[in-house]
Amino acid sequence: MKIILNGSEVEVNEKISLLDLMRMKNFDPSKYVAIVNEDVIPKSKIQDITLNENDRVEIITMMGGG
Amino acid sequence: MENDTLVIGGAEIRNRLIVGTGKFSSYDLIPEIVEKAKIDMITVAIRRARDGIQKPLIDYIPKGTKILVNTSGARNAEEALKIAKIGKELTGSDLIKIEIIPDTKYLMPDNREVIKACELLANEGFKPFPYMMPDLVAAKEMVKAGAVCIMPLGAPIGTNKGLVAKYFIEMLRNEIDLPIIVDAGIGKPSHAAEAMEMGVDAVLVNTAIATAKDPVRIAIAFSKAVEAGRIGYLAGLPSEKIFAEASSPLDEYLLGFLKK
Repeated sequence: MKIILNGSEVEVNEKISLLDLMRMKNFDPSKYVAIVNEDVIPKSKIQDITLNENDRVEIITMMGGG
Repeated sequence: MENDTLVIGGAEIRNRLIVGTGKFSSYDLIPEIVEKAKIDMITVAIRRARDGIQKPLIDYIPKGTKILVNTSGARNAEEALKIAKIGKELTGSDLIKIEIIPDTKYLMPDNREVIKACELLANEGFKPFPYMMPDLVAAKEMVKAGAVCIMPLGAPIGTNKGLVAKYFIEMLRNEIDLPIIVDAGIGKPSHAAEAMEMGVDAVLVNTAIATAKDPVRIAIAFSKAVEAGRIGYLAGLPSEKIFAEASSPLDEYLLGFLKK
């Protein structure tokens, strides 16, 4: 199935979990925050989230700022 | 100076220089600055991650450093809340620097939205650090809305112009019972010392450190300037006079001796 990851279409297995997607893309879940369809996903819930076709996933990190 | 800890929203810092992490040529400079200038608190922004391969900023921040996430990118209170929630997931901390900047030329903060954001975020359990245009009326509203400190700009972000807004910051220092942190515009260590001598509680410096020829060295200079200014303030600065006053008043003997 297709999902939108950080604005780009990505092909993934049906019913992939958010945790597996993050691992597949090398995003260490302790250092990044995922937003699925506008919902900020608490770290404790990452493994419980199953993705669906056309879900929009944003992976957010810290960057330099004042 | 052992007991001169500053507590803001429950967070304790001993070094009153807070360092922003933007504009550095390499994140490798950040741990070196934190260690050598003995920095207790830094600020960061949040953005979409490019990939999972590049080492994220969090890996460069020494353990124990307090991380203050800013809401840069927010144009109103609701957007600031969204960013704050993401920031809290990243850091585990309720501390949030509210930055709401609709103006792109001078990067002026929108005090009205910042007041709203203070209330919205405080109601959600956050500890708001509002970055604001120094205005006493607005600052009082921010205090009422739940701010844990007030962060007036010295001059617009990245200008290095120093304490252009000094008189207005003095009003805040005199009338607001929360820590005052001068944020933005501080361009050199003497500006930081001047701010601390005024009696503000801390300063935040980013551009002046990140864009100096030797960022680590200037961070140390800023740290010392902040400490010197703080000690000067605590010592009680003498008042200015219009006319000169000799350091060694002449006595009768010397005057007589000279006349001979």
